Order: sequence, then structure tokens, then C-alpha cells
Amino acid sequence: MRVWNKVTKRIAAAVLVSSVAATALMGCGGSEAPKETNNAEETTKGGKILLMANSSSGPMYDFNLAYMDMWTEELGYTYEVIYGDAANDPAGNLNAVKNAMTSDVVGLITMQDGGITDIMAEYPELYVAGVGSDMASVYSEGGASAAAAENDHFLGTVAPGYVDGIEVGKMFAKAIEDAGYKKIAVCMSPAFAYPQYAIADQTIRAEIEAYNETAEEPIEVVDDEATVLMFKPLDDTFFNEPDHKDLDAIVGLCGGQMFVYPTLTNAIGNGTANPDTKLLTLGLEGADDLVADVGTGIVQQLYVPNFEEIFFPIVMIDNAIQGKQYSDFTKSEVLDGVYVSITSDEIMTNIEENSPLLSADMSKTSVSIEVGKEYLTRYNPDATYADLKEFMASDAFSEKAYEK
Amino acid sequence: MEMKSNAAKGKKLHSKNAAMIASYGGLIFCIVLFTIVTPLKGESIWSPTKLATLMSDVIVTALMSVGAVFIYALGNLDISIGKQIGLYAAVMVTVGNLTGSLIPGILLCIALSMVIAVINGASGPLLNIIPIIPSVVVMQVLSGIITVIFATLGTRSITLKTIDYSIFKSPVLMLVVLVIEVAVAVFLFNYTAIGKQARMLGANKVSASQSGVSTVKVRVLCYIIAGICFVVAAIFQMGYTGSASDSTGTGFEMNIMVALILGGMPISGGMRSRISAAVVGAFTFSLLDVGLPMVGLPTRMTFIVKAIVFLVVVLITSRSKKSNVLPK
Amino acid sequence: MKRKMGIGKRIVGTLALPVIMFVIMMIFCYSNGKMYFGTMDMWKTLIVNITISTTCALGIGLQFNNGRFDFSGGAVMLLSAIVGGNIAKNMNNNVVLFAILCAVLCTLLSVTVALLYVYGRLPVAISTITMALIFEAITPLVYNGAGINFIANMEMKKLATFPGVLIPFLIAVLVYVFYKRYTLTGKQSQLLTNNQGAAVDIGINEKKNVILSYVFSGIIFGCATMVWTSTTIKSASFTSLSTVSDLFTNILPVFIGLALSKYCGEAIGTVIGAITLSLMSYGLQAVLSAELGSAISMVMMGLFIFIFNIITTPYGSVVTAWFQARKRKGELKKA
Repeated sequence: MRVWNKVTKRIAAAVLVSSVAATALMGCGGSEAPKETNNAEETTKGGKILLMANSSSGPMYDFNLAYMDMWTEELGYTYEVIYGDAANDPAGNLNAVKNAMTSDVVGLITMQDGGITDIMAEYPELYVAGVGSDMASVYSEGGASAAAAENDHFLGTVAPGYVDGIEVGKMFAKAIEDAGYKKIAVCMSPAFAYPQYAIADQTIRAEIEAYNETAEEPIEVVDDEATVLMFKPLDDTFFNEPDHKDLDAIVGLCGGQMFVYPTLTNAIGNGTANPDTKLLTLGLEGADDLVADVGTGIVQQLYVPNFEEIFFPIVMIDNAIQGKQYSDFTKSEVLDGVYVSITSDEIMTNIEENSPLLSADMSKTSVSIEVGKEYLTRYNPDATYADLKEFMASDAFSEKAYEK
Repeated sequence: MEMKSNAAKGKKLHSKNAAMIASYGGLIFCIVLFTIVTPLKGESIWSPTKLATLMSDVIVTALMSVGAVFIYALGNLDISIGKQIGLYAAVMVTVGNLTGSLIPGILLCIALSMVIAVINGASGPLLNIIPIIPSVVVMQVLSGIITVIFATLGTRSITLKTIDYSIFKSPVLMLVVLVIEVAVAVFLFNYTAIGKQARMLGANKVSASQSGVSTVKVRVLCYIIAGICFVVAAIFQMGYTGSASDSTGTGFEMNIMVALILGGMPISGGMRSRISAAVVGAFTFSLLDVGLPMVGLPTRMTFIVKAIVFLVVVLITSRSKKSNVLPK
Repeated sequence: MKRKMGIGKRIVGTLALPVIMFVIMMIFCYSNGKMYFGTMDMWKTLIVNITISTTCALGIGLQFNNGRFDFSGGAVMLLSAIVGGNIAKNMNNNVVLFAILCAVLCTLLSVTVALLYVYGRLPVAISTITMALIFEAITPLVYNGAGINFIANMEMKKLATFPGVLIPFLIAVLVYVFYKRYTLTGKQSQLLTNNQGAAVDIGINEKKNVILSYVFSGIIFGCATMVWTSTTIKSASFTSLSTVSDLFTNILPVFIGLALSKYCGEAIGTVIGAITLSLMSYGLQAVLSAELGSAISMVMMGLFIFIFNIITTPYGSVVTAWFQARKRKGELKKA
């Protein structure tokens, strides 16, 4: 029995040690080439694309998966969803990619910029493009991932709206003026993570100040500075401040439905906030109650980034993998995302019924396969990057929302 | 009579053996499963890239868990480990950027770890407070300090600017450091008074102190040894990407707990504590992390599979023998 | 014979801590221009946080005071919130149904934990960690991993806003008191905590006692879930043991409750602890800027708990021992 005990331990130890030693002593090997397929005209390359999502549920998540299903099937790829680090930690994002990496992975579509340089250094053959993120760490001066901007395998990104905070600020200021609100507050995500929101806040104040010079009834912006939300919902103490009890509206320069709405509704329920306070904010949460609330309830103006902007990284990655990148594409950049402005129940209903956003019904997509082929160089060798940029900034993506 | 005695001895050895096999068995099961299945799905888990991924995945958990064995052997829990790792990583990057070298940052972290070790280890017995309290307090305080550091720096993550950290990506270096740490830990734990006294305190604090074991001294030394292991783990955590963020280390204390339990470490400490539990558990944990996506399991399903593996392993390794009282 | 504590001493002992904290925070807030501290609006805002803190602490404390550290409370609450919330939402937003489902599901899940502990013969920490892992792993699988989102559901929020929030608050406190004082299970659990072996030897059925105690803690966690679910969006868990960290924040009132139990019992002591910590957190957040407010609040709360425990530890405070030693020295000198 004692001998058996020793033998068992030795076998177990040997298996353990040999697997550990093999780990360390193996050199870098080659990897399998991605599959190639022959279609009627010429050989096309396939492989797997990783989609690093920054959420695990919700309308954008479901839509992106349905969109990827449609396009990867058409283009001959497979894809896999991986979950980035909840706090955009570089090590966490790198880990997520590493755990999913297999020899057939050829591209990465990412919604987070943490660790991009490390990912690209680890996998130099991987093509990377962003969506729903302005990749501030790549494109800002001295950013942690600034090296990625010079990497020819980094193909750019499309932001969840205007990159320039000034345009965002002007957009909100106009909405406030048009709605006739007289007393507003501004909440925003921290400037170090979202510098464009700090600029937007300053722009709102400047625009309203200019408006007040000629207005009969001036608009009051309470507090000298915006209330900063440190990646968690608005503090309960906000509505106990005397100045915040009777607001006409709150501008949420953040995912307002997640970070401002809960505190506002709690305060209204407790009777500590004006029940007529409205919210103007960015982003869309897909819960039925929240959708029903837009335009009719608390959320009066909602700016949703173009949900079909995932088309951009698909196109760029496919062109690169096929070895047919646009001839006029010289350097990666961040493109503005088109906002869909939801300002009424009618627009919200249009989106629900006519667009694929809340239903993931691909028959309703603006960028159908036929439309999209125009921009893929494997189908249209004359397609240009300028054409793609123009298309991404056009009304094509939002026209269904505004259909009468 | 002799036959009955031999049968009883055999039964006892068999049950000891079963627990040991089960703790290794979880690892062996994973190795066998992934060796067979992953090549069928396109890529073997033993391919060079995947082995490197496995090593980089396991190194931090293994280094932390080896140190944590000293704490768990005392019968204690430490829920501040994750925040300690976060703080050390942030300090190393900040000081590294200021001085151009990692050494001052590492030395500062070792000093910090000793201060934290004294607080965690000594305050319980000296101040007569509930043992978990110092750990909860240290976790809260470090959490606040990390938030203040990053808010003051005006960023959510910081990176090394001028120091070449590529050496920390080497699987060979990881293995060498792990082997050295395990060897030192095994020596201290099994062949020195500190390890034996730690296990004695975990087994029965009253008897141990009555036999002359200095509770405060042993606890502090154990926490110091663990703290140094945490600093080494933080070096690799920080070194792989050359960065630290305000969420670095989040949940690491839970990973350690899961790894140690998977490896067969008794949660109440005592004489059955062993260093191998840390290594076995950490590798099992990481094999599941790396291997399950490779067998085609969607990410959402991997959590339930890991939980079920955990359940099976603990039912075999951690079950108490039948008695009239429930185990604590 | 030990003299019974007078009612005056009990009241002073119970209320001293929150009153002192209230006064300190009031001075701190008023000196920084935050004059709304202490108003009815503040209490209406705070009552939700106090309820969540109290109910979670009572659920954790029920097991903690029986010598069992339960890691599964957070996972029980999350899974119950997701399943119960989605069912109630699909049944026309029935808040009564939601409340019943929270209580029932939390109780069932807690009993599952108890069954693993009792019949699996695993140490309690391992049992609860195992079940926490399993419950958390189920959350991404149900309802497509969408979690539950009640932030816009004013019907469901009735139990999470004033005055409806008082219902789960009172139920949780009453259940705890009932368990501790008026049930055989509660009294026997005290015997088991003091001397497990002796209690079993005199005929107490420990297995039955443990399972019943988890029934009660499950009901209390159900009360917590009713309120907690609609305060923010609740997502499925994608990180192992992510729910455990919330547990360690909510355990703090338990320690205060232990210290104050000699004046007012554990239940009221825990409520007092939750009120004290909520006042501190509110005051600090009101005054300090957003970036530093919650960070400094965490540091201050940690230090407060540390110092409080040094003074009030059940194992014999070194501070009071020092003062007593000085007093004896003085008496000896006089003599």
C-alpha cells in the first residue's frame, strides 16, 4: 500500500513536471495557415475573427452578433465573441485574447483599447480594428497604446459618436434651447477617461451663455462644473442639494440610462426630485421599460451611436486579409460615428419596427450584403477608403429611424 | 486480529490516498481531457503558443497561492491580497517611470508588504480582535488608496515608459522563478520551525501556544513570507503588459481560494496543509481557463463547467469523515 | 449576582454611536456648506441604503454568529433577482409576486447550500464557495445572460423607494428577532455555537438546526433582494466569485451589531451599525469631490471599523483592559 502510494505520487509528479517543463522549453513554432477557399473566380482567404465585446447582453450586443453571423457567413470566416476586461485593464484584455487565440485567428474587432499595443506585439500578424470606441489611448498624444497607431496591422476605429467634444456640446446645447428647458445640470464621465466630454461640457456652457445674451428667459446651468461620475451611478446625495431638486433636465455626458437614470428615478420615487426632470443622454439600454420610456417619460433625448458601424472593421479587416487594402488607405484614424437622435416616441417606434437594433432582424439592416459589397475590394476593386468614410458618415444608417 | 488491523490500516491509507489522488486527479483529468480533445478541435493545448499562454496565465496565481499557503495553514483568510497586488503593481510602474529602474519600486513594495504583514498578522492576537477584521480593513484602505492614486494621476491605467519589460514575458523565466519560489517555500514550510509552527497554530491554537509557539511571531513571519511572494507575483502581473490599472488585482484573493481548495488545501489550515496544493490548484484552474474555450465551449458555459469540476474535486478531497458533529 | 443593565444605560449604549456619528457628520457637512444633512430628504434617500445594508448584514450575520462564514449570500441574491425579476416582469410587473419569488428563491437556494454543507460533509467555507460558484455560473445561462433591469420599472421599484422600502426592512428585522428569540432553532444554534460537541451530545439535531437556520437567512436575503434588485442594473456574473466582494462590504454592520448586542440585541445592533456607516458614507460623499469621495469614504470606514473593533472586541478589549489596569493601580496606590 505504501509502495503504491509512492508510485502514484511519482506518476502524478512526473506528469505535472513534464507538462510544466514542456511549457517552458518549447520554442516558438509556426502556426497553421488559415484556410483558403476557392470560389468561382479566385482563391479567398478565411479564418476566424475575434470580437472583443465590452458587454455581454443588450441590444447592441445581440445586434452585433447577428451582424457578424450574416457577414462572416457571406465572407467565409468564422467568429468568436470574447469578453474584454470590465475595467478595460490592459492585462485583462490581453488575457481574454490569449485564451481565445488559435492558429486560425486572423483578425480582432475590439470595443476596448486597453492593452492594444501588447496584443499586437504578442500577435504581430493579427489585423485589429476598433468599433464603438474612440481608442483614446491610441490616438491621444502620449497615450498608453500610441504605438498601435503606427502599426500597419492596426486599421483604425469608428467612435460611438462625435470624437470632437465641441460637436457633442453643440448638439446638446441646441436640444436644450429647442426644448425650452430653463434649469439644467450636467453629469459626465471622468475627463481623464473621456476628454471629449469635458470639452462638451465647456461647449454647452459657452453655447448657453451666448444664447442667454439675447434670450428673454435665460437658461441656468447649475454648478460651475459638471458632476463627475466615477464609473458608477450618480450619488444619491445629488438630489438632496437644494439646487438639484427642481431641475428641468439633466444632460448625461455618459451612458446616462445606466449612470444617471437609476438615481433620478429613485429620487423621484422617494419624492426628493422634481418628477418632471428629464434626461438627455447618450447610449441605449434595451430593456422594454427603458425603451418605452424614451420620448414619453424621463428620457427625452437619446443619442445612440450608429449601430451598424461594425461594418467598418469588417470591411477593413477583410480587405487586409485578402491582401487588397484600399489604395488610398495610408494611415489608421478614428472616424466620427453617426448619431441617431431619438427625440420622440415616433422615432423610437420606427427604430423598434424598421431597424434591426432591437430585433436583430437582419432583413431590416441598412447595410445589406448587396450594399456592403460596394465597399469590399474583393468584390469591387475600385472601392476606395474615401468612399467608405463618406458612407460611414452618411444618413444611410439613420434614415429608417426618421421615416415618416 | 492482525488481518483486521491491516485492513483498517489499509482503509486509512486508502482514504488518505484518495484525497491525494483526487487533488492531483483534477489536474490529471484536465491534462488527459485536453490532450485528447483539443487536437480534434484544430489545435493542441500543448502547441507552443498555447503552452506559453498557459504559463503566463498560471504564473501569477501560482506565485500568489504558494505564498498564501502560509496564511491558510494558520487557518486564516486574507481578502486583501488582490488589492495588495494592485498597489504593488501601481507603485512599481510609478516608481519605475520616475527612476528608470524597477529595483527601487520592488524594494519599496517589499517594505510595504512587510508593513501590511505586520498589520494583518499581529493586530489580531495583539489587539484581541476578530481575525478577519484586519484583512477587511486593509482591503478597504488599499482600495481607497489605489483609487486616490489613479484619480490623482488622472488616468485609469499607467504604463512603463522607458523600461524594457519584455523579459517578463519569457515562459522560461516564469518557470525558473516559480520553481525557485516553490523550492524555498517547501523548505521553509516543511523543514523549518516556521512552517511546522504555522501548521500547529492552524491545527489547534491553544495547544500550540501552550507548547511554546509564539502566536504573534509565527503569524507575522508567515504573513511576511506570503507578502514577499505577493510582490513577486505583482512583478509578473505588472511585467507582462508593463502596466497597472485601478482594477489590477480585482478578485485575485478569490482565485487563490479557488486554486488552493482545488489543490486539496484544507481551508482551516493545520497539519494537512501543503505547498503542492497551491501549484496543483493553480495549474488546474488555468488549464480550465485556457482549455475549455479550445474545446469549443462558449464562454458562458465555461463557468458552470469549472464550478462542476470544483464541486467534484472538493467532494473527494475535502469531505470530512463521518462524525456526530458537522465540520467547521 | 450580576445586576441587570438599566434601561437608561441600554438606550445610551444603543444610540450613542449613531448620534455621535450624526453630530460629527453634521458639523462636517455644515462647515462645507452642505446644509441638507439631517433633513427629511436625506433620510428618505438614506433609508434605501440602510435597508440594503441592514438586510444583507442580518442575512450574513445570522450565519456568522452561528460560527459559519457564508460566502454564497451575494450569489443567492443575484440569481434570485434575475430569475424572480424576469418571471415577475413577464407576469405584468406584479410586485407582490416579485416579493414572494425573491423570498422563496433565496430560501430555496440557501437551503441548497445548507444541504451541501450538511450531507456533503464539507467545511462550511468550501460548501458556500462551491455553491457561490455554481449559482454565479448559472446567471449567464438564464434569460440569455441579460441579467435583470428594473431601473425604469416604477411598479417594481415600490419596494425600493420610500415608504415601501420599510416593508422588507421591518420583515427582515422581525424574522431575525423571531429566529433568535422565539424559535427553538435559534436558541439551540446558540448552544451549538458555544459548544458544538456538548450541544450534540445533549440531543440537539445539528443537521436540522443548520437547515432551518438557512431557511431563515434565506428569507432575510429575500428581503434584501426585493430592494437591491431595482436600485441599479443587475448583470449576470462573468467573473468567478464576483459577488463575494459585496459581501465583505455588507459584513461591517455585523461587527457593530456584535459589539452593541449587550445593549440592544444583535438585530437592533446591526440596524444601528448600518445607520452609522450609512451616515458616515453619506456625509463624506456629500462633501468630498466625486473622484475622491468614495475612495476616502472607504478608507475612513475601514479605519473606523478597525478602531471600533479594538475598543469593543468580544475577546476582551486591550483598551478597556489598559484603563482598568490604570484604575486598579490608582486604587492600590490610594490603599
